[in-house]
Amino acid sequence: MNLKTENGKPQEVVEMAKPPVKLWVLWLVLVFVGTLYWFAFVKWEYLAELRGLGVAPWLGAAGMVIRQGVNLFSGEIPDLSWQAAHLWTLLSVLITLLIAPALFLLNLRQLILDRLRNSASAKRTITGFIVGGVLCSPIFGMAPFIAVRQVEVYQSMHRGQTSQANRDAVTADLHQLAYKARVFYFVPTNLGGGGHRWKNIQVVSGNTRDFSLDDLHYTGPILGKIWGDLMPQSPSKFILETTKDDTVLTISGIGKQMGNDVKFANKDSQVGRVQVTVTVTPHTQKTQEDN
Amino acid sequence: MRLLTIFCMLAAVMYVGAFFMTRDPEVAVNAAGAVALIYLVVLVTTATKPPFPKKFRVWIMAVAFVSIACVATSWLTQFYQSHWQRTMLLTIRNTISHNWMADTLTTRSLQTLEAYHNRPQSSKESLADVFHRLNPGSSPGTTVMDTFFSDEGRKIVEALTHVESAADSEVVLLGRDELSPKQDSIFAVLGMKVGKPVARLRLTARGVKYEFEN
Repeated sequence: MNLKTENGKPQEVVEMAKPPVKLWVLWLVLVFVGTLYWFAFVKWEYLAELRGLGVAPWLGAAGMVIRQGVNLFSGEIPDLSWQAAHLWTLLSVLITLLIAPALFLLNLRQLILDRLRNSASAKRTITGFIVGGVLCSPIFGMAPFIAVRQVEVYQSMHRGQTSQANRDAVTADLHQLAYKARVFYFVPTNLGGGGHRWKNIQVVSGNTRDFSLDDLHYTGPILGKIWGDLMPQSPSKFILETTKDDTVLTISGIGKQMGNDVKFANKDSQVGRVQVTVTVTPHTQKTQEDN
Repeated sequence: MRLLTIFCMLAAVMYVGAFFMTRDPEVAVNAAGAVALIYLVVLVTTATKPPFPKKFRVWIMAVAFVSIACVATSWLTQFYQSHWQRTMLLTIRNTISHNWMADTLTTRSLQTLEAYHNRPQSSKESLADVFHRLNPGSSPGTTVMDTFFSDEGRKIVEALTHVESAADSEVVLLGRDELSPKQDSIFAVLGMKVGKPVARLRLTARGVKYEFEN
């Protein structure tokens, strides 16, 4: 059999050797080593300091971005200067995405060619192949699993955040409605207020069991202004109820997203939706998350 | 080896350059990652060129393609997720600030409104007079600070109420959360909305109007 060498000249090989390694076995070994690697990093936190020796660099960078968010949330200014962590991430990129794959693939090539030529591989080749394989195993061995898990986490976070954001939006809007209702309560009827009666509340649509914030002719929903395109909120439903003696006003807000209890009976005959209720008296207001 | 050295240097330069241009570690790692991607394509092509057996070449290219695609998926998902989370955290922070400000401003106004409409008919007190009576020392230009703590005792909001004007028929209050990050340049660098949450409340005999300034 003729094999073309790198300088282009044909080389005679006496006998075709059996494949030196089965690639699927090699891949399984890499997955196993990669799993051990990840497990070690999760189990022993101090190993995280050795990120440069081979754990997904993009995860380290993402951690830094989220830390900036936590700083902003706490009212602190995030530190945007160059830090040691940035150097580790750079090392991680160089080692796991450039050096380790090069060591692994080029030495794998040499091993296979050596075996096909029935010649012994140099110790350096074997060592380079093993070191390269171990260093890039967390990424290339585990890549499919990491990707699937990552997408699952992303989707789950979005689902959870959407439901919680909807609940927060309904709660914030209810607070605004409650304040407006209390203002309305104190203003005399000749100035357009309720004159100490909740029952005087007039909704533009004429239906107190299904109205939107726009019906109340006040400024728009608080969350709509803040959240904007980031987390667009579907319009919620609001239901006004007063006690017989007109001392307490109850406002229920029903969101569009599913709440924690999927069998929860909402006040507007829907099932399982987010629902928050605020109980209003002239001097107090109390919020309760129903679902 | 020379090719590897060149690509390593290029990745490092891209990483450091992108970081100092954007101050965003993920943009920096993306820049270096793009260089690494090009290198990986070159590497796989080089490592499987003849006389490498065709059977192995196909296998290695397939595994490399799947691995790189999976890494790219994970990489991009994480990129969008972390930026989304950072923006979301700031947004939640703004929501909390606005809710506390709305609470502070409206509570002061409600007390004034109730007292104004319940005052004796013979009283000649204006809206501003009632406001000053209930909030001593709150002449126009003065500022009051309300501090709110979390359940763990941590200071979370410093709602600053500034009396902008107090005429006979209208009192205007301006609210601002002092604890929100205030270095606008930081937000500009991160490509985020600039400034602190600010709200204005107009109190008249007919009620209150709450407006967002930021």
